[in-house]
Amino acid sequence: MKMILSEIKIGWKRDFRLVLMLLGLSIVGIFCVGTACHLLFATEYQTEKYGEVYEEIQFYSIRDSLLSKAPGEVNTEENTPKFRKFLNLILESEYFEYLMMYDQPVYVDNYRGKFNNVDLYEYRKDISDATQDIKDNNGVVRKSTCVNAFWIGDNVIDYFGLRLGDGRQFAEDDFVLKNPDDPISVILGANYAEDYKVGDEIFISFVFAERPAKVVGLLEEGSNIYYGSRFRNLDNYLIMPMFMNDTYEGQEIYNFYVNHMYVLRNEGTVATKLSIQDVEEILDSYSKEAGFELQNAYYIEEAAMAEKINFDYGIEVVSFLVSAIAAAALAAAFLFVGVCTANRTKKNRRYFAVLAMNGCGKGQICSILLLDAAVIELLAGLLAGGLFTAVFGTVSLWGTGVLWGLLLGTAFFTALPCAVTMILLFRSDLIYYLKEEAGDADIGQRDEAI
Amino acid sequence: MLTLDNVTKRYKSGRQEVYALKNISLSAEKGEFLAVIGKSGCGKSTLLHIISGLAAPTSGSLLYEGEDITARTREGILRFRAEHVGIILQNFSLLNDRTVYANVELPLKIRGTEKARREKLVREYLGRMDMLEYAGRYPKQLSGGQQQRAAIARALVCDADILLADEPTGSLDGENAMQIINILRGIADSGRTVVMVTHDMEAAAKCDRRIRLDRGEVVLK
Repeated sequence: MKMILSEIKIGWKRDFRLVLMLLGLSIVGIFCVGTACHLLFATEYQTEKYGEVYEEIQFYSIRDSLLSKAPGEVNTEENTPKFRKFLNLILESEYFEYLMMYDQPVYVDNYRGKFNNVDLYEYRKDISDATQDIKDNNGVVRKSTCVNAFWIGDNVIDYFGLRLGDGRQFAEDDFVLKNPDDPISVILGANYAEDYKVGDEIFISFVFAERPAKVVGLLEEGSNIYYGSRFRNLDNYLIMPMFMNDTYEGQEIYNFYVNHMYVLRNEGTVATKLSIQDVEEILDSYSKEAGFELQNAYYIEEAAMAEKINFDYGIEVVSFLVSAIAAAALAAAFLFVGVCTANRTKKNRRYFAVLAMNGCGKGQICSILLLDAAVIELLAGLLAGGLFTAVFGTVSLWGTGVLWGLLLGTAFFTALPCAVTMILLFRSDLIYYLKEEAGDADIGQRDEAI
Repeated sequence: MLTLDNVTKRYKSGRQEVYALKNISLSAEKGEFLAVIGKSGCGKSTLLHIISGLAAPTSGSLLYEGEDITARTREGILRFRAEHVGIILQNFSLLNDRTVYANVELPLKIRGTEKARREKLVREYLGRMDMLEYAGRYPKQLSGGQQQRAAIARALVCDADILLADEPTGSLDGENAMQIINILRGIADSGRTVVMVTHDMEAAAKCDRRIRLDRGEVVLK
């Protein structure tokens, strides 16, 4: 073993550039194998988790042009029942499932959660960058931090199969607030679990209100909803029910508030197997039934590549493309590793021949080759693993099988140089390489290998 | 001590069969310096390969101390070469990326000899070849004669009792060539069997016996 290690060390010094090239190419190849495995397992995982729910389902976003209209057109009392009727029609539609979801950050007072829960944290220095003083209606000033939040309807949690790690999901009562002092129920994403618990009371500020809130549940890690053309992981989110606040009734602000809330509620997502044209026709008929006369009051956006969401198709296309690129890069790395190894072997034939001449058996030579390749490829595997983590972030290696992919890649790229080298080296008697070098014409036919 | 008994070596060249050696029988005793001479392509090197175990005869036997070496397994033949045979070639076959000392030490490292003993043996054989002062040099820093002496030291360091020399003076000038022949002569006189393949008649003249090969057959002993 000492001799073998010593010969490997000498070999690396002798072939330093070739070894570096081999290392670099192997890192690329192993990284590609890991990436392909990552995509394969991620696709399988998501297909398994969501395939039944999303098979053949299209998701369309309803966009309302009312918000762009002058407030005077929207905030009239006569429009309120129209909005309400339209909302009821789409909620009760037999043609599709309507999911109210709205991405709207809120302010939480005395925030003690993690930085990556903060709204736009990627662009902020720290939590204090998203914190400001907010005065409520009673003049109380609170230091509040803007955090990611989703407002959701009462069918979203069940539709996406979200599970609570602790506490409960929203009840019917959570979606209607009658008493101005009633706390809002909120559910927190898994990233809050270390800092908040079920029963904690907080104070939140959001559109039109500052309200006390109570944590009623904590989601399991990895809870996702489909919103805005992609899966959105809720680990870093505060979830609020898209409630209707009746406490403003009678006040001047009521119409504006109610209409605005209806506008938000009517900007949800339609989940259906129907085509976009069919859904447009249905919504048209609903808006007429609701009494809208505004042109193009409601229209849906087809989620093309951005928003047209056919789960299987979207994921498969992306995975196929990336896998194809990974496979091409892997094939290229395979080819270059083979060529690089062949060059190194040819360069070192004399060396192996001298070893053989001095009593080194085929087994020992093979051990040198195997260990040499194994050390290079293990190093490449570690570096490829580091590169993978840098590109894709820390992933659950066991869960997505990336570790297996990296190990497989390492083993493959160890076997490849060994196989190439042994084939090239042992097809002839090694001594012939020394005789050829000496220009010996008496070699005759090449004999079987030693 | 060493006997070739009716050894034939046949190759296939396309559809034709070519005889490199044909029914060769010869023997070499301990302490004998044997020269194998002949034109290029007559089978000299093939003979050496068979004696060293690097090639197997198509028929016939190689006997060492009465034992049929060709009947051994591959590993057994390898062991025979490792324990009993040293080889030197025309182009010295030293490794240029290591010192003379490391080159001579190589066979001992391959066999797993412990460090202290390795050092003792390397110094001993370098001393015998008058190469001790060059132990730290690299092959390219030596003359042809010095390189060949280093190669001889390497070939003998494992206490081989058979030394096979394939055109050992082929790359050397007259003076160096004679030096090497004298060394080989001395090795034979110390009780080892030396078989030298050469086309150098002056070198062959220094040997105890000469065997001429022609087209794979012994034509003169």
